[in-house]
Amino acid sequence: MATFGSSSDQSRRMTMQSDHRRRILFRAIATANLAAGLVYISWRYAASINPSALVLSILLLAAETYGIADALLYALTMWKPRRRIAPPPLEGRSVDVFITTYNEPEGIVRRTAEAAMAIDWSPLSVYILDDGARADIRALAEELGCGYITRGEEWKGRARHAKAGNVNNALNETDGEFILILDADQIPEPRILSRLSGYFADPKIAFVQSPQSFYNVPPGDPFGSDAALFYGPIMRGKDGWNAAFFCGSNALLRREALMQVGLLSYAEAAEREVRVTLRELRRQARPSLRDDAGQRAWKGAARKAVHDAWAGLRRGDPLQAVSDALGEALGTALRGAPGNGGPAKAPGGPLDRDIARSREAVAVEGVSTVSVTEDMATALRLHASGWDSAFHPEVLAHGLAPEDLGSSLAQRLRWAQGTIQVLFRDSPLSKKGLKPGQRLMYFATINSYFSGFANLVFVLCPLVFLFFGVAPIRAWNLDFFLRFIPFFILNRLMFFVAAEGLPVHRGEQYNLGLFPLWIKAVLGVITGREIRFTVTPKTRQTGRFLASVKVQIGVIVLTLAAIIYAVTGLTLGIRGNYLGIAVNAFWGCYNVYELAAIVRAAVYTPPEGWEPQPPSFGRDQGA
Amino acid sequence: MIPFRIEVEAQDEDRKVTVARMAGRLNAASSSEAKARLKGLTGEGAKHLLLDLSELSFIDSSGLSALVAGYKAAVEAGGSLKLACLVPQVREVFALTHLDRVFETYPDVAAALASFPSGS
Repeated sequence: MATFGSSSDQSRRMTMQSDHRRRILFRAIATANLAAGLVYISWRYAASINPSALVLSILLLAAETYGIADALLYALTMWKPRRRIAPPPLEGRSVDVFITTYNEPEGIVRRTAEAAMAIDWSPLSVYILDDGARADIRALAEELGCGYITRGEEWKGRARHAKAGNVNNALNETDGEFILILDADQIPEPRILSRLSGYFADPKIAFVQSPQSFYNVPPGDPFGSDAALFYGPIMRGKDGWNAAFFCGSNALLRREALMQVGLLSYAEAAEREVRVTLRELRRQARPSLRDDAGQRAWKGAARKAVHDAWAGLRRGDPLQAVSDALGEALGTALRGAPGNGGPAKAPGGPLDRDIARSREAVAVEGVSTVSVTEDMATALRLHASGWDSAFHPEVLAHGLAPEDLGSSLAQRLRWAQGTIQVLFRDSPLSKKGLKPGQRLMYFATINSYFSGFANLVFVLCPLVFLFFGVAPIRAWNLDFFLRFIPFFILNRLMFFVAAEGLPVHRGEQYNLGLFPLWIKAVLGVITGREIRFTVTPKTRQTGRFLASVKVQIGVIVLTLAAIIYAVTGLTLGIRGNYLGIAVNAFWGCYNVYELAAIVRAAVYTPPEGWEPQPPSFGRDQGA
Repeated sequence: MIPFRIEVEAQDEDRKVTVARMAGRLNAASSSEAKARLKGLTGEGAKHLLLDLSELSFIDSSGLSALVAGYKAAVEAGGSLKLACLVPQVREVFALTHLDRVFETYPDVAAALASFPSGS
């Protein structure tokens, strides 16, 4: 072992040294950036609001304040990254591999299932969780000799909860100590469990996430699929705060942890439903002027019964006892009732079906169903219950990214909406049990999806100025540049250093350019419009997607027109403020450049003869 | 180590209660069997189930969710399920997962039986 380890030990030491140097550099730049940001924004608040364009001024100031808060959260994310090295494997512990699929072609599922069967581990059970209940996938499972799980009778007529429901259904039917979750397209390397299992020697670790990497990203990454920044510096940063996320695939999870938070959530949900029913019973027993003497009598008794049930809940009586007592009291009340007009006679405990969560197919849900991004919501539950998590930085599975803009946008919309749902339904800001750092890390991710509003302001401001001469700031003068330029440079520098040389520009373009999508996501959640879990297509969809980017095209055309209009006005001597027009023309050009990437993606076709090859692994590659 | 067992101990015809005793370890490995047996018992015409856990030496979260699944099956078949005689380890995880806020537990079988309504 000693001879084997020496060269990797050396490279490890070098990585650690460079990590250390980078961390110091990053902290210095981030601190300088935040100081410069503070100087700039306080000047903006104090001395730069344009009183003759108050609304626009305030909008821009709000957007800039958001931007600084976002940079602060980013700096905190990157403040104390943790680079883990795989601990020795936990030999001999049972692992179930769940391959989740809904409508992916058989060929894609086959590659993943074959690779899963070849994972170097024992005892290992591979299951295909086919939510599409398709004959060809069942045949595939039989052919390969792996398990095949679909939803049973109990799901008929009940909420299916998409992928979360699929996994919960399988959790009920399997018994491995650990669970490796793989999306249908994520081809695992044989060594994946040897690398990930060791983390569970620490009994507090609930899951370890490894990166998602895509072998079909076309040259130049037109759709911004490359996730190396997220599954690198960002996840290492979150891991430093014990807040590595579970990202739905390529993660190994501890069954006991999932079931334990499932039970906690079950107890919560049961009580919630009991309360709903009690409120409904109280409503039914409300006195009415039309009541006759008999009705008045039983309604009075029923109200007393419900009142006692509330008192029981407040005392902390078990729900079952509350239900029994209520059943008895209501039974007595109903015996005096005149046969009709009262609440339906409920035999036994009238709250039993709430306690049994009869509306759900599965009472105890290991994977959270509060959001369409079940992975984040589940990680949040685990962290709030005191479990730890880990991010393993090495790529151990290779999958497919969306191959067209339409699919890519559908996926991003789902992520955005699911993440914002978590804020509203199980907010990390108020959820009990989280540490402050964990709260911040969840909030940082959720907050980033609100950038659409800020970016809308950033694309509107130059338009308004160039067309109408209305400025969102008193003047673009020396006072402004002296404060803005250092902040701007330091801000860019901070993001640059944090990225560790990874290509991030495409991601930034998508972040700005997709502002209509982010706004749609937030508004969709706030207005409660139903969000469907869309399965991201793993095969290229034909057709062009210009309709999906019409807002971006509109902004580009308007911005270019505004620049021409203002410059013409300037040359003809109709308009003054040379500097203002220059600043806004530059700003507008920057917006156009960023937005153009998304429009190009809409009409993108891969180069002739470009055919991504799925990876294959020799047996010798394991260990 | 005692393997997991579940056996019918008694029937209370008057209260329509089947008393079943669980023994051994109820964990991920035995939870499928437990779920199937509980479901079977509720399907056999027993209206109510009373589980005597006095010999259940160990339970984990998968085991607890099998009990919840058993309760769900019993309620959906028009009956109920109650728990009696929890040993300290079981009581501890019961409290840890907040199931003590959901289910009433009884110190002995007689007390639990008395909590079911008489069939008269």
